[in-house]
Amino acid sequence: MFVQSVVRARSEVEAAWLVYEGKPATRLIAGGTDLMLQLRRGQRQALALIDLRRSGMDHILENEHAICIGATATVAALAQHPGIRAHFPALHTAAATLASQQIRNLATIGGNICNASPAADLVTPLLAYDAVLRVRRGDDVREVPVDRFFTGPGQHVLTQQDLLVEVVVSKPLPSEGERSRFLKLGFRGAQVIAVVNAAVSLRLRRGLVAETHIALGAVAPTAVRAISAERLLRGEKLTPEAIAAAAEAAVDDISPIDDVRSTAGYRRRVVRNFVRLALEEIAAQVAAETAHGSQRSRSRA
Amino acid sequence: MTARKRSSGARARGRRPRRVVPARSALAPTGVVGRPGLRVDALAKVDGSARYIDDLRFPDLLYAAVRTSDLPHAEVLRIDVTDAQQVPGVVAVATFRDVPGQNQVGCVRPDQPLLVETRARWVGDRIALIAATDPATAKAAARVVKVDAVPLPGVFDVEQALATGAPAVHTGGNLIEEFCIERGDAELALRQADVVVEHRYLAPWQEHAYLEPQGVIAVPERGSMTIYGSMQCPFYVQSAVARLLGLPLSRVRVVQTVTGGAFGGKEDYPSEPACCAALLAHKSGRPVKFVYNREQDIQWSTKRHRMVIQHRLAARRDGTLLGAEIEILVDAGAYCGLTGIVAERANTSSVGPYLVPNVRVRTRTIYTNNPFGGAFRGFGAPQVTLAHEGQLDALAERLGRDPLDLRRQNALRPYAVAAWGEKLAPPVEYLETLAAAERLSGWSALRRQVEAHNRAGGRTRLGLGVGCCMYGSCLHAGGQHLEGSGALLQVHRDGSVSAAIGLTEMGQGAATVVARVAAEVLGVAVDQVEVLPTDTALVPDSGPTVASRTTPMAGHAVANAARQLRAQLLPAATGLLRCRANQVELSGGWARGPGRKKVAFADVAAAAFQAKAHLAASGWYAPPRKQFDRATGLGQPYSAYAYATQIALCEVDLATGVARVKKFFCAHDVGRAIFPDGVCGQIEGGAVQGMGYALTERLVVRDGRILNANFTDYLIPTIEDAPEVAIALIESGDEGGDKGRGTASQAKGPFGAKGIGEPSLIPAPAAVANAVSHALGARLTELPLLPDVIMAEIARRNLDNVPFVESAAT
Ligand SMILES: Cc1cc2nc3c(=O)[nH]c(=O)nc-3n(C[C@H](O)[C@H](O)[C@H](O)COP(=O)(O)OP(=O)(O)OC[C@H]3O[C@@H](n4cnc5c(N)ncnc54)[C@H](O)[C@@H]3O)c2cc1C
Repeated sequence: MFVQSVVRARSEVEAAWLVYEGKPATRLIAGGTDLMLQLRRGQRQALALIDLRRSGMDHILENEHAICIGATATVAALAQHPGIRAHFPALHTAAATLASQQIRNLATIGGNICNASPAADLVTPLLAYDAVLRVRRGDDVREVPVDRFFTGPGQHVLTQQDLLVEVVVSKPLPSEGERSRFLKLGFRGAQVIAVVNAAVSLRLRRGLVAETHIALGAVAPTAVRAISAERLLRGEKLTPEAIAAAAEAAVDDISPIDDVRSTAGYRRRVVRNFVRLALEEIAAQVAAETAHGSQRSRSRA
Repeated sequence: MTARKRSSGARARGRRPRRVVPARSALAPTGVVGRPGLRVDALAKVDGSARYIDDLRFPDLLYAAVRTSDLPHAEVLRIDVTDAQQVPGVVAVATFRDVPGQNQVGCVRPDQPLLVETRARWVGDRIALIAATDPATAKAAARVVKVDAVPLPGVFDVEQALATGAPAVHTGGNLIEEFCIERGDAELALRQADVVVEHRYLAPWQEHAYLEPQGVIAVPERGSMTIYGSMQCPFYVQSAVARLLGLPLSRVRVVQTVTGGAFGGKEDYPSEPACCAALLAHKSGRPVKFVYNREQDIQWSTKRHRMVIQHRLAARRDGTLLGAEIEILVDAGAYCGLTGIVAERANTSSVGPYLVPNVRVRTRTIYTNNPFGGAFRGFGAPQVTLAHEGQLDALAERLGRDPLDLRRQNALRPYAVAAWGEKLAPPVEYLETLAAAERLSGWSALRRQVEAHNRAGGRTRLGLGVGCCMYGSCLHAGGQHLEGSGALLQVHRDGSVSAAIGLTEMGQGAATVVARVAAEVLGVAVDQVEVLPTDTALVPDSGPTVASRTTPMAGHAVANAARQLRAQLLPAATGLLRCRANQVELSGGWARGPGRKKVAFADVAAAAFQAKAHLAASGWYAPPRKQFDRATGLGQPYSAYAYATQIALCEVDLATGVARVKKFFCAHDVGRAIFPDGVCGQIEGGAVQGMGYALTERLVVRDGRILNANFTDYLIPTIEDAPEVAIALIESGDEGGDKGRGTASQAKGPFGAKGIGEPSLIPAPAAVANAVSHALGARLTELPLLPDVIMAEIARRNLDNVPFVESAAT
């Protein structure tokens, strides 16, 4: 099967209706950095493509409460956005280290999500931040929390008639003291698919963990939250013991496999270490800020 | 002897090599040799005007596709191409029945049919060929070829292949050949030694990953065939196509197109796509293009041989080496190809640059149904170097000795006898490379730093590793009948020069070296010399472009031709300058006579033309004959030796098992750097390619099929993985020769140059493996050292139960 036609959508509305009325064997293409490879290798088939790159959905809008990212915003644009950097450091790091500059210039956030790879780098931060996905069918728009979006490797809840239009990430209140980290393990310095990735967000209230999300990629059929590790942490102090216990628990929240990239056993060990590393880094950051803060108040006094 | 230093890489770009002008001798260059400058082909490659094979078009061009075996080992009962022939757009379909000459592409042994007759021996075996008016049609037709085949049990491991009752890949069994070295009494030495270090090393396959995949175009014409293509060895392709089509060599012409990298992968292999295209062109009467995509290229082309090496090294307590016993198993894949020649070099190189009086080496080459082993930069040496350098570091550790010091103690020196019984003629620059690498790295201080870092604990550990090699420059004595090498030089009447050689530019910089040697001897500027594409119709068979032999061999041939031309130009110069021949100096585009008199080279050329001088010359060079006894592995295997010491500083992340090279130091004996920037480029490239082999490049092979035949999952290093590479060049700068002390003479290249293409890579994997082993305090003997392998060691010893972040513990 070869692609016979490409239609270029000129607006979100046009894109939504083209998708809605789309004939069978029609696929959406954004940056094409996943799709072109899959078509070439015969892993996916298409007779017609709807090109989203000129559909005007590449905005990144920031207001007091949230950042709204258009589905065709490029990974490069995400990496450069000061608001994302300030409020969502895990998402920033994931975008800034994804693939290489050339790929980041083409790749979109919508493509990264809708390709539904368990190893997608932007997805774990979105899980850690409880992002909401806005999906459009014709003129109807509905919201899907990102943790209910994926159903398996390469699979998600969108139908043939759905278009992902926007990703919304809500900002934490300054008083919530949120800190977050993204860690990626690839076997070389750049241009590499994750063997494991992890995003951790954590809020402290009076020295205790008020809330934490630990999202892990490439270790289950979809990116997953380490629910039991999160549960262990809530209400605790970030002591080395609590951190170590959470890290051990995270290993039970995943179901990795052996594949051409690595082995299940290795992924388990790295997940344990990554969770501990991310939490230790956050603890160190908190300690440094507290020390800095008390120093400042002392010098002011 | 002089040394240059240069440091480069991601973090230190733009620093120039520190130049020390070599001492003047009779052979010291006066012109462009040794100077900085551009590659002659740099601009065309940067601005896109260089035309690679896929850029070429011919009228009525057809596109080829292949139907390969679905099974790694099978009896083929019937091949039915009727459906394929009926696909609209298909012009020709060929099976073994259509071969007019011999259905054979075996490079050394006739064990490899181009097209399967009754037996498929690996998944790359071709069953039918299709030529169609577009590539997609050809591919679609290939899919509808019907093949009736019965699967046979396969064998995918060298040790199993040797076991009795193993499935035989060819009638006659799976053992192809044996090589050996027998000197002294290794058994006795091992028995009497104070210490014996024994390890089993596994050096895996490696993919060449040249930027430009394999590709050829065959153009038929009145009973002859012209092949254009990306290749290293046009004369190999010429012989292969002539044999397949039953044509005399005079009717097969091969023209090399601009070649985007080869690394050995375009030595013997291009004969295969060339024969496919030629057969289809012969059948259809139309030009046929066959260019691989990346997946096909990785799946079908040759790989660095997988080797298993059992190495036993015996020493006295004081560190003196006494003996070595080495067993090498080489996985050839389904056909022999160049395996025997690779094994011969592995066999000879297996002891390393050390004085070892008692040696027993046995190297066996073995058929399996695995991917096809072939030539790859280093040609069997990187694998055995991993072993001998691992052994030296292991011994140093056992004896509590400094690894550099232990090497120095046992180093081959001038007039020492190498493992293969040859008394080495000076200069023997091994010790100089050790000393230069020691200085370059600040060895003792660096070792102390590393130890302090590791004592402090924390998330990372550092390690230092040494790798050394002694590279036999040019072909092994076993292949010396191919050593002659030619060049054709022409001075035009405007003073410009055309040069053709029988060896090839494949990205390594040969054209620049050839232009520089010609310019140096003729006394013209480099940009006055135009180097032509290599063409079998222009220059006589010059053997293969391999074994780091282009600079020495083509260089000598060009110098030889240039000296003839010089003689033919001299009468005109003496006429114009009114002086005697011995008063004329040709340099920098001028002919100079006594008392500041000079005329432009162009005027000399014009005058010579007017005087009907013969302004073309054919140059030829063949090194002296070498005596070598295959039965004992003793004699003089090579014309000259190039030494190298490389040191790696590696860091292991205990949280992930990821190892990376932080700094890399290279000290190379290059004889003479004709093009120093090119030499440094080769060293950096070779070192990084060796790091990839050591750390990230793993071919996942199941039942003979490569599961990661793509660049998503076969990970070659990126610029982010390339560390700072510091380089010291050691230039002894003379052409060598017998000093009358009973040693065979060293035959080096022009101006004393030695090849650098391969020595740049050979010690690198060993240096990295040694550094990672040092970091972990455990000997790792299997490549690649992927994080999961390292993590297994970390987990076994619970090394990751440390706080990863300093302040978190407090
Ligand atoms: C060399 C290389 C390196 C890479 N490295 C990484 C890496 O480090 N990390 C990583 O996570 N990924 C990596 N990738 C994968 C890829 O680049 C990313 O997943 C990228 O974000 C995909 O975006 P795209 O716009 O190119 O998607 P496309 O290929 O255009 O689309 C991907 C899929 O999503 C669908 N789709 C796209 N947009 C929408 C939409 N708005 N609504 C509904 N469906 C939609 C398409 O139909 C298609 O099925 C790499 C790819 C390459 C080629």
